[in-house]
Amino acid sequence: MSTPLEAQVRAARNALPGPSPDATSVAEARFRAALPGGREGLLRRRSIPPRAFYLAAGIAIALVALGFGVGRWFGVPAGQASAAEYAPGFSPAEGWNTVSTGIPALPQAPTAIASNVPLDSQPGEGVGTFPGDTINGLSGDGVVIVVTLYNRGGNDSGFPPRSLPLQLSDATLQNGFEGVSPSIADERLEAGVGNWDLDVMTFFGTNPPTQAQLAAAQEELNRLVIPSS
Amino acid sequence: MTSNESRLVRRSLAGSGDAAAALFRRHWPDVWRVAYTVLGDRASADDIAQEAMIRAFTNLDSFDTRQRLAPWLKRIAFNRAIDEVRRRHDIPAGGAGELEFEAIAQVTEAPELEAAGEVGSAVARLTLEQRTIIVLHYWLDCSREEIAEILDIPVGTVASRLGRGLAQIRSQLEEEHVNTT
Repeated sequence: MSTPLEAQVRAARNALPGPSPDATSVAEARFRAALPGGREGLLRRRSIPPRAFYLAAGIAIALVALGFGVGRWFGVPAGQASAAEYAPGFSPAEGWNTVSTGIPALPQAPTAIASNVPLDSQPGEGVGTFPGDTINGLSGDGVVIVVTLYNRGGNDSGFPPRSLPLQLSDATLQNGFEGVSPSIADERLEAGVGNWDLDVMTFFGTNPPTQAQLAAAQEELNRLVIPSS
Repeated sequence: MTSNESRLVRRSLAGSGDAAAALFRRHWPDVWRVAYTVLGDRASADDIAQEAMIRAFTNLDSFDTRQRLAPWLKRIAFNRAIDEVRRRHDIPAGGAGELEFEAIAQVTEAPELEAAGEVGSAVARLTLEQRTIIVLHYWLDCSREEIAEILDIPVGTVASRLGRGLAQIRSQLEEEHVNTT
């Protein structure tokens, strides 16, 4: 409860000036100019090795080559350029390497990858290939998460509506992924979030995954961010 | 942090200039006022608040998204303003925190604020430590806990300085009333 003096002080808040419109305009213009440049800024802040970025940029093509997700490529309708302005990704966290394709040109799909092992291309695993060598090289506590985004409703069945952070407990253990060793566990989670259908594949270095691996993967999933539209 | 603000922060982290600009417009006035409260003039507040916002958003990935954004931004603005005071008055950095703050408190004034009404004038004549806390609490609606976070001092110290600041304002108002009657 305020004393009369406190009420008097509160009432005098108009004595504190605010910034002028001119100063605000100048400050906002300089603020915008100083921001890291859009998606590139995000990628720079994460110090992603260029080779890993280019590897991720071709992942959607690889998914097609693997027979995965065909028919779900989305289109951004003309006049909705803002839909391509933002990128999926993972907020930075110690011990995790992340890459994002940004919003690639059609027919590729926006994809973000997180791995707690070095995410590096191996001989024969160059641009345009799924990081199968990295996944097949997983052991122990290794985890790789691959998130691919499609326009919501762009596929036949539709993914169940969910909200971020996605819960790994909603995922189902798969019976092996083409090209991936049976010793690697693969959890698959489908989620409709906002305007996107998210296809989340999580690979573990042991099969079945340990509780520690599941907890680590969940923590990283908590850091997943997706474009708003 | 509201879900809307949380979403804007996530979009900013994902590289959205529009989301960052929306957050800028939302928080700029109060960040500016924090800088003004410390520095006491508009031109300095313009420069320092702008620097603070840029510094905050170019380091947004260090922000704990479970926390509220406003206190974090105000804290950066406050620290940047204090750095500016330190630079102007050649007060070395790295001193014992409380003593250093006291030293800074002695060298700052708010002449523009002093011309703004009886209570505004009384607030302007407070020491920096008292003025900052009074402004944050009564004019910028920061809780004691948020002020403690912004200034990096215990909540008890905030409560104590609030009490001392109010007592000082009362004393000044009474003195002025006596002098003008």
